[in-house]
Amino acid sequence: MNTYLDLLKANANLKQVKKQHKIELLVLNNITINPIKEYLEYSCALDGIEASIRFGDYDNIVQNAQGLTTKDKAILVFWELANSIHGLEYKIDSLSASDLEALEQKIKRELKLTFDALADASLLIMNRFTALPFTYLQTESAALEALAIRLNNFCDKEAPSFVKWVNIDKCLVQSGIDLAIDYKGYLKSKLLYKHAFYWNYSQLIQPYFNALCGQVKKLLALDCDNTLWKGILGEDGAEYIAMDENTYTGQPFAAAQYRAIALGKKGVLLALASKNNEEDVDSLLQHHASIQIKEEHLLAKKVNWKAKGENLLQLAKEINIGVDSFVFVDDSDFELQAMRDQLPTVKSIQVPKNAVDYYVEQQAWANHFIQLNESVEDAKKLEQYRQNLKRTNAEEKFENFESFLADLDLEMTIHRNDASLISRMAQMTQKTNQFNLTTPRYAEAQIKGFVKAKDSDCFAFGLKDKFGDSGITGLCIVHYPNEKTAVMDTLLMSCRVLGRKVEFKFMEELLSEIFKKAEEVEACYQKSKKNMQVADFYEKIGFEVKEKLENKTHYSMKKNTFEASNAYNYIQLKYA
Amino acid sequence: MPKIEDKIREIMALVFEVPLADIQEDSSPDDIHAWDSIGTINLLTALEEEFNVEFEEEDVLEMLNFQLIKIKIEEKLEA
Repeated sequence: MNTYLDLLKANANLKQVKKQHKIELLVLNNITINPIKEYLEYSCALDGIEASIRFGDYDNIVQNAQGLTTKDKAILVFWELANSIHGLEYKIDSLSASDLEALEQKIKRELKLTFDALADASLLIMNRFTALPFTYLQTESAALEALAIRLNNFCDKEAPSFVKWVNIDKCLVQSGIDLAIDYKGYLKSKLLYKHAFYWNYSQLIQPYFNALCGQVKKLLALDCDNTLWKGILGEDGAEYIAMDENTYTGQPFAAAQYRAIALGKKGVLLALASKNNEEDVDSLLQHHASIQIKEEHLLAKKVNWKAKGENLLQLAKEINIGVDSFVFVDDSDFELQAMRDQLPTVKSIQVPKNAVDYYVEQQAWANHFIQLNESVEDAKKLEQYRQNLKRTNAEEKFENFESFLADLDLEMTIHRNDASLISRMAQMTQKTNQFNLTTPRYAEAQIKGFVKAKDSDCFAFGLKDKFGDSGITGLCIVHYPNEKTAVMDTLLMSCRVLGRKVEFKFMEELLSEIFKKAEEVEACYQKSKKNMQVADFYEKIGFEVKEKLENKTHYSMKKNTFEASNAYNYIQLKYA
Repeated sequence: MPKIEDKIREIMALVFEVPLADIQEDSSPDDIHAWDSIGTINLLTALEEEFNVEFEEEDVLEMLNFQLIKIKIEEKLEA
């Protein structure tokens, strides 16, 4: 959204959409601020609120406030200090002490009258007085700055506590004076602000309108890998993930944990939503030297391999609050899109790819949980919800996940004995832990041998969807010890691509290829510390159990029992 | 490329929140409700952005209806 015109166009489109909530907003102003109407309408519309916005008479804040029925209305006051009298910003230093004192007393009286008149508004938003646009080039404090400080102090003492004060310097800092302040417009028609200011401002105050409509979020659900720490626990291992506040890499993630804990302290419920082995995460929460988030901060841990939407829906049922009061933070495009698709009312926040951006953007997390009246009860919520959780045990099935997958435009490319992928294939055998049926670790020379050998096949696959290319993420190595038998040596996939039934599509294609060369396929599951999630994978795809040992299960499948199901047709398949 | 007058018409419809068809050659503040002093400021902001021009006070005095706005913008673009 780069210009006023862009905003007008976007807003025109949103006006057609029916909104769930309605607010009446009255803007009182002593400066031309009218373009803000479109910006506020737009940011409200994005959050499902139809804002009906009216303006008071120009420069008549006090008079307008007196005559109003403000009950059930939201009021926004733009009281520009520099325009208290025409040209105050350049006149003030030349005023006599008594004139300045008289002016200050007049403003204070007007403020007091305004506070009194607006006391029954359902929401009153006012701006902190600031001199910044008119003094930022001046080395020493100017009289205008001093006056702004005195007036702000006066407001702290005299204003009713329900007034929401906005520091508009934040809007100036965010985009810089040049993009926020329109000096020409100010001199021509008292139009001091421009696009970037209105945009920043409407973003900054939107949480109040959401709160007014009861759209307050209550629960923060956090992904783990690359959200609470840098790295992938299941792949990199607990020693190699980063969240140490004393390292450059770890600090943004430590900050995320501290910020989440701070929200928890204010009564926000915290939960984990992570695709990981539960024991790994539990052990990390208990033992990792750098972890700040602990069991005691968390209402729930949804750490498993189910769809995250399903997990959150279940949690919502268990604690009996709507998923529309959930905020979900994750780094994966796939998980975020899946969430938007399955549970569109969950507010999904993307962890930026750049960790520094992540560190900066965390500032805004708290905005989702702003309430108009905070109570001491809030902080006790965690305990209450914990109890709820014990009482209920709801289950909910997901219905539209398949249709979501179908919308992804998944495309799998299989590479057969591709010499250019030798180093990637070796790397995958070395790094993949979770979806790895036998976990042999191979060097490049060994993989090279398999690629060249007549009695072996290396199938690797790459996966793309409409959000991007995951690269080469799966591998199967097959040996043919004699003319009738094929043996699955290695089967692994990166956990990045799981949850899309890709593994089933891959196996089905593979088996139909393998059965062109062999009558029977032998396979086995070799238990490791990290591959529990695939313990029954071969059973799921129709292999017969031959022998079950403590840490190893042998399977086989005969050609005549194999039949391609032709499911998963939403995954397009091709060979490189 | 859309003609200048089509763009102006589109912008006026957006700013004043009226259907495109309501913007006639002689449309002026007299027949468009939202075209008041504030409406004028919003319209000029949007036109300045779209055509990358700048209006002076004396320009504004002459921009009294659709037709005159079009002429003014064409002048600016040719200059």
